[in-house]
Amino acid sequence: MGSKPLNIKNKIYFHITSRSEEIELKKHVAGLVISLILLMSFLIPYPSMFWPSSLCSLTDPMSGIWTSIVTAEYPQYEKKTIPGLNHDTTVIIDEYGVPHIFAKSEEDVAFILGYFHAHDRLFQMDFQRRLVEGRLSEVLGNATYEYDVFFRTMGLKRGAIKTMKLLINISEGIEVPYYPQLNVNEVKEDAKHLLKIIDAYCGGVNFAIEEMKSKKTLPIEFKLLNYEPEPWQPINVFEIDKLNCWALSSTFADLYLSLMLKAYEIVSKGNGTKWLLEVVPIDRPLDHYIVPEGAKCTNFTSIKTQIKMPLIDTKNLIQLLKWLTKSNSIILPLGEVYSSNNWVVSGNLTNTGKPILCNDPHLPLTVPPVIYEVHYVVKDENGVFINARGFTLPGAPTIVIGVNQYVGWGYTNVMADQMDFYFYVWNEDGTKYWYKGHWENITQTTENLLVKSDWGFEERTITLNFTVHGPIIERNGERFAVCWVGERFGTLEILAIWKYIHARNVGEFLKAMYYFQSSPINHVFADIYGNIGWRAAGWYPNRTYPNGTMAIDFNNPITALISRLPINGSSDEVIEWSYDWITPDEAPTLVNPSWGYIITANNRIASKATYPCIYNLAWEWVDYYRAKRIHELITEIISQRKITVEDMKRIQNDTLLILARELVPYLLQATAEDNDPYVLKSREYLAQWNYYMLTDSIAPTIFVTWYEVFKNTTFADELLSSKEIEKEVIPEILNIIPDSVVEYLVKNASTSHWFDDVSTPNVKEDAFILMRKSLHVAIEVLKTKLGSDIEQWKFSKIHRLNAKHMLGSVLTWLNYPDLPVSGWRHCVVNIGASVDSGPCWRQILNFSDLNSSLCIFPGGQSGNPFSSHYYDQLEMWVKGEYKNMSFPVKPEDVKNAESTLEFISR
Amino acid sequence: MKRFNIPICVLLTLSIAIIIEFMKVWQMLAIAGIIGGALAKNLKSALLSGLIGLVSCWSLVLLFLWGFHSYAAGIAYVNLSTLLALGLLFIGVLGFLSAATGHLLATFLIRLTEHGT
Repeated sequence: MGSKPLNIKNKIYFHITSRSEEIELKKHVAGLVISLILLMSFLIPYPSMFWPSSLCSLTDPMSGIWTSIVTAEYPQYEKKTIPGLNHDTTVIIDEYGVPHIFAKSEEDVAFILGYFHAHDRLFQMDFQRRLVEGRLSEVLGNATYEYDVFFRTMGLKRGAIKTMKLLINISEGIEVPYYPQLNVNEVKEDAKHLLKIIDAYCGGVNFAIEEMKSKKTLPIEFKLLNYEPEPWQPINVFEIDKLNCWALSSTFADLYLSLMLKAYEIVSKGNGTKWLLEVVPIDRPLDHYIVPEGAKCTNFTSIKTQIKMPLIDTKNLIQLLKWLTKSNSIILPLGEVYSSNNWVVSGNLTNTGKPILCNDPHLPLTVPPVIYEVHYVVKDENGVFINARGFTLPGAPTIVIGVNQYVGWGYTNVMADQMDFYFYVWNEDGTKYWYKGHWENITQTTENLLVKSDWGFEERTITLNFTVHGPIIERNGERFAVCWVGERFGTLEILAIWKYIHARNVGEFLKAMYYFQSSPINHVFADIYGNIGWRAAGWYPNRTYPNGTMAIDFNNPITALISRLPINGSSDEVIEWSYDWITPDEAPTLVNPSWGYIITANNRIASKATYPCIYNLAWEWVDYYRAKRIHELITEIISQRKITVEDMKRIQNDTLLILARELVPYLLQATAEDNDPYVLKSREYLAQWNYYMLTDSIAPTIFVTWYEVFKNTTFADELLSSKEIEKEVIPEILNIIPDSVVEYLVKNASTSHWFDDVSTPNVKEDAFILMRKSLHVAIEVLKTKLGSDIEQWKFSKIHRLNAKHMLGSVLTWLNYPDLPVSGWRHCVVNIGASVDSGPCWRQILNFSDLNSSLCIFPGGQSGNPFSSHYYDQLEMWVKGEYKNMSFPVKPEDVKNAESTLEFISR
Repeated sequence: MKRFNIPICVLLTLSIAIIIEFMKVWQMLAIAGIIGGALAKNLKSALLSGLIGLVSCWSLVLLFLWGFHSYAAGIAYVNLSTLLALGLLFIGVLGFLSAATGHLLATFLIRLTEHGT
């Protein structure tokens, strides 16, 4: 058989000798083509994570997720040459992963801190930056689109830009029109220096980003989401500051209160304001003030005014509120606690003869934690010496709460009202609003958003509308303009915080505090010379009428409601913020009080008699329970002996619930004749209970379940019967009604109309009937949830840590373990009901020997889930233990060093 | 052209793969598979050498990581065991495909050369 040419795609390759060879060759070529096609398709990148090439990129041991194993711990010793560093700098990493930076300039500290923030927390930083800028959808897709629209509308980024411009203007000596009281020349040099520090910090972050990119060791989250971070810019530092400001000052209570007012107007037949003030009183009947009666404060003059009912469509407002609350829940989950405790005791009352200062700010319990701890020592050529330690926020170069070798400080939120909502009369097509006697056009801007999809990015355009008061939020035609300090003005708190580090005594600290603007914070502070103090530092907007008179009248507390209800922006008498701020120098202050201690726990600052303009600052204080409990414990100890650091540890971890102590006797009385076996057993537990919210107890489970049912039953019926309020918004409204009001009503007004169920007009219920009914409901709830064996109803079953990673709802292994946690809201250990908020930092500063100070935080330094420092402090935090907060002056003084890193300048 | 049996091809694929792995571009590992497959005696040997060679390469690197960073690697491998298994499976598939391609291409070229002469 003769050979014949083989024709493959019209080309003759070679001759074959047999028919079988021809078939074999065809098979061979076909196999080759198929394997080539398969190989190429395997290698081609594809946006989906579940494509082979994506999975291989993800799991490549040298460039995929496993590289996080190598970066999980710092090497025992490493020398790095770094361009951009002024001097050689040594960093010692201690046994908890805390960097101790020994530098010769503050710029170098900032650079190195930036490097460590990026190394340990880069994804957290990038996530927060994207959140503020409304760019989460670029990496997370459509699921986060609404969050992006929300944050772009609220304008955290606009506020950050204003803040950066403000700082640049001040550094150039340019006056600020909206801060007429500010002497720019006083801080011109400081602003210049801070801008250099911020630049250096960004340099450090970007050095780390480039290093990680080139070594392919970016954090695991970037690989899972398949994107790379952009360089860190100075504006991003201000964005982190704004996010913090937003977390402390954003509230939609004004809108919820207007809903309540409308519902109460209907149910009470015209007594809405009276009813509203019964459940949300401006002066609460049960309270505990930071400043005892008698302290001298600044006086203010004002005029009387009337409360006007805002015209609202409740259905649309509810839709709007649902959107606002859901969108904001990404950083502030509903019903959680965002408050804090701090207190300072003078040396006259301590066993060391020097002050002891304690602070535990309560923020979301996230993975990784909100905070990043650092210690640094600067000895520069100009003789500046700083030895500081505390926590920073990843993304920004300053110590937020902490201490230097002279002065230490701690924060709690003043709960100041920094946000107002305006409603208007609109023209027919909604493009103009009536303002000061004429139609004013709304201002519009458009922004483009990229939303990640399976096939790349989808570009969407959103339009943002503004009135003179701020951005407009809208649902179904129900519109409000949001007037928030953080968006409207540049604010200087970052400058103040940076100046704190340079303060050498309480006097200098007070001076630096002048620049702390938003959100106002109760600073307690102390120095090594034995001084202690407190100031509710912040710049508080004054609300005035067009003729300049103040809207909130201290002789007429009801006028405080003006700032807590939506304001009519179309009124001829429109109330607006004036530039006549209440500055920190006018804010309530105590220095070395004669009684020797100061306690703040977001409670009311002072009585009207003590500080007349109190309602200009705030009136939505947190209930008195924590402040009173700390006060009880401190006064009990100092009545017997000098107070010690050990006592402070005990106080900071106290879980006694005053609310339970006050209400349980009434509950026992209400159920005295109930013979239901579960009620009898519950009564037994409650009667023997010492009111500590401990995880191994059963009584706390019964109490909190009963209390939630009782509060709901007391207040929900009036709201629902108005037909104006949907069930879904009831939990948020109940959060606004203080628990101390419930306590007051039970103790002093047990036959109040609030306890009468409006759905049973023929029966008149009182507090005792409702308490008994609520216990039966609570028992049924617990039987369903935890089973019918009451012995199994331990608090640990319902109160477990719920600290989630940003991607933790999908990748659950990134979350922290759900350890049982003692405490509850209103305990000193202030933990939210869902256990996803609480003390994010505990510090006890001992000014007789700062090296014996203590601190702890819930989690660990590293954001790398494979690191031993991912949550190495968590169990200690749960148990109420502490780690040493030392201040070594030299690298060799750092105890239990894990790594030494030498950064060599080039 | 001399062609080898499975153990030699596996070793060859593995050695080349380890060198390539340091370039941190996993796609390049196909080269190791292609060379190993090309030098294999038959298709079956090629497929096995590609599969075993590349899976061994990644396994060795992962073992190395575990040896030097046992705490971190332990947490990583336990929590991400599915991804670990999928990664090894898919790199095995890459070895399989690249070796098949290499072997078929080499055979094709050999035949082309033989017939050409």
